[in-house]
Amino acid sequence: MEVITDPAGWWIAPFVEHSFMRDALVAALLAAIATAVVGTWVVLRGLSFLGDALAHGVLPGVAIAFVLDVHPTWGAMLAALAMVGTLNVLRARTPFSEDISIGVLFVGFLALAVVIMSSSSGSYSGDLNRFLFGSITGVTDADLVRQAAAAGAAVLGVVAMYRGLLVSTFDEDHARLSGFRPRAIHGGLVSLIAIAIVASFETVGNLLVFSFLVAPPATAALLVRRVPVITLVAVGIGSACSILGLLISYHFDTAAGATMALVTVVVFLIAVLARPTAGSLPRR
Amino acid sequence: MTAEIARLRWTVVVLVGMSGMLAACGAQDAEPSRPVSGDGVPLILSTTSIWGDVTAALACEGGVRVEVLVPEGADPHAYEPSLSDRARMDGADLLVINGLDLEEGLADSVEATAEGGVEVFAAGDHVAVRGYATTESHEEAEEGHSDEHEHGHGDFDPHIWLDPLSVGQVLDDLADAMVAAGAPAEATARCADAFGETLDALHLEIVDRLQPVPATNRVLVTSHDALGYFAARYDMEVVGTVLPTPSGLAEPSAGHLGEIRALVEQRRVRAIFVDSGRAADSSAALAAELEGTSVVEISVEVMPEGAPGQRYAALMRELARAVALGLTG
Repeated sequence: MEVITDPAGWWIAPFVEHSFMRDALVAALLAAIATAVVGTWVVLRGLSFLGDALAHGVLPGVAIAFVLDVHPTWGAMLAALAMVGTLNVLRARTPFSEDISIGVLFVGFLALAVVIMSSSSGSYSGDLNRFLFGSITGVTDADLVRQAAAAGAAVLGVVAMYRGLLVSTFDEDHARLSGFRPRAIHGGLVSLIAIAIVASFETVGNLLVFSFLVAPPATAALLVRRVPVITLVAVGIGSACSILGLLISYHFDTAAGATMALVTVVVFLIAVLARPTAGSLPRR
Repeated sequence: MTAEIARLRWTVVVLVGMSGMLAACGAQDAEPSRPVSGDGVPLILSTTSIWGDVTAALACEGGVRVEVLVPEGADPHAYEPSLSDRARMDGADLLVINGLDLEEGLADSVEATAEGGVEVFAAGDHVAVRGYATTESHEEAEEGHSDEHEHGHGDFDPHIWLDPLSVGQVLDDLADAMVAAGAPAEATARCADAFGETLDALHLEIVDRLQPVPATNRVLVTSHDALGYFAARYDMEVVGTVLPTPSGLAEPSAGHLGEIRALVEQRRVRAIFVDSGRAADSSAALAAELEGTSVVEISVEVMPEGAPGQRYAALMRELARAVALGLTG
C-alpha cells in the first residue's frame, strides 16, 4: 500500500503536481467550512429533511438559469428562497407538521426542474447531471471567488445570529421571553442553509452537499458537547473527509464528489461504533 | 455565555480568514505546472474517439501520441471526467474537442484546463455550423420563444462529423494546431492532404450508395436529432425525432409521439433510425403500429473496429449503408 510505504507520494504529491488538485482541494474545503458551520445547527435542531429538500429545491432555479442563459448560482439562490418563502406560507396555512410541507415541496421542486429541462428546446445543457454530482474536476478561479464569498456569508450569518440560535434551539420559550423571535431566527437559519448549499453544489454536487451538511456536524456532536467546539470539530472532520475523499478518488479513479460524500458517512458510522453508549444531544 | 460568544467570534475570524486565504491561493496557482511527457513526444488528447481517429489520420507518419479521453461506447454528452482524466487533460500538449456543447459533462473541466494553459482545439469552431434540424418546430414558433433562443448556448447541432466534407473543413486548422503542439510539420501536412482526399472519395462513395433512394423517400425520422449534417449534405430532410429535445433528460411525451406518428404516416417515412439505442423502446412501439415502417439501428458515435485513422470512414460507410437500406428496403 502506497498510503504507508510512500506517504509523501500518496498524500502530498498529487497536490504538488497538479494545480487542478489544489483548486479542487480549495473548493472542497470551502464547501466543508460553509456546510459544517451551518450544518451544526441543522443537526442540533433536527432540520435534516429541510436541508435535503433545499439541496434539491435549487434545481428548478438552475434549470431556469440555463433557459435564460444566466449563471446557475443566481437561479439556485432564487429557487432556494422561493422554497423557503413557500414553506413559511404553508406553515401558516396548514395544520400539518412542517415535514409534510417540506415533503410536498421537495417533490414539487424536483419535478418542476425536470419539466423545465425537458421542455427547453435545442440544448444539451439540459443535462442536470453535473449539478447532481458536481464538477470538481473543472474548478475555475471565478468558481473559487464565488464560493469563498458564499462561505464567508454563511459563517458571518451564523455568528450574527449565534445567541438567538443558541437560545431558541434549546429553549424556545426562554428565547421568546428574552426578546428573540424564534420564527425570524428559524427563517434566517434556513436562508443560511440555502447559502451554504448554493455555495457548494457546483463543486461537490447537489446530491452530495447534503452529506456535507449533516454527516460532519453529526459526527462532531457525537464526540464533543459544546456548540462552538462542535462547529470547529465539524469543520475539521469535513475538511479531513474532503482531503481523504479527493485523494482516494485520485488514486483509485473513483467519482470525486461521491467519494468525498462516502467518506463523511463512513466516518460518521465509525464514530457511532467507537462511542460506547448512546447519549443525548449536547446542551450548551 | 459572553465568554463563549467571544470565543466564537475568534473562531469566525479564523474561519473567514482561512476562506479568504484558500480562495486566494487557489486563484494564484493558475500557472501551468504540468508534467512534460517523458519521452518528449507530444500528446494529442481528443475527447471523443471520432476526433481521436481523425487526429490519428493526421498523425499517419507518427511523431505524436494520440489518445482518447471518453471511453468508446460512453455517451459523450453525459460523460463526467474523473480526477485522473483531468490529470490527462492537463498533461496534453493539445486537447481536441468537438465543441458546440457536445461534451457537456466535460465543459467545466475543458474550461479549467484551458485556463491552466493547455491549448484547446474545438472542431466546431472550424466548420460551417447549422442549427438543429427539428428545434424550430411550428409549436415553438407559435409560442414566440424562437427569438429568445437565437445564438444562445446549445443552439447548434454538434454532430458535425456525420458529414465527411465538414470534417474536411477542419483538417488544415487541426493540422496547424497539431504542428504548433509539436507534431512534425511536413509529415502532418502530407497526412492532412491524403486524408482530405480520402474524405472527398468517401463523400462520393456515400453519394453513390444513396443513389437508389428516390427523392420522395428522402425523409428521415431519428431517435435523437443527430443526422442534421448528414441529411443536409445528402439531400435529405429530418422531419422529426422521437426524443423531443436533444437533452438526455427529455422523455417523449404521449402528445409528441402522436405527432411523430402522424408525420410518419403523412410523409410515408420508411424507417425510424435509432442511434446508439436512444429511445429504442418508443421507436419500436411506434414502428410496430405503422405498416411499412421499420426500425433501423445506426451508430453515430461508436466506430467499427479497424486500424487507427480508418475507422471514421468505416463508420460513415456503415451509416450510409444502413440509411440506404432503411429508405429503399
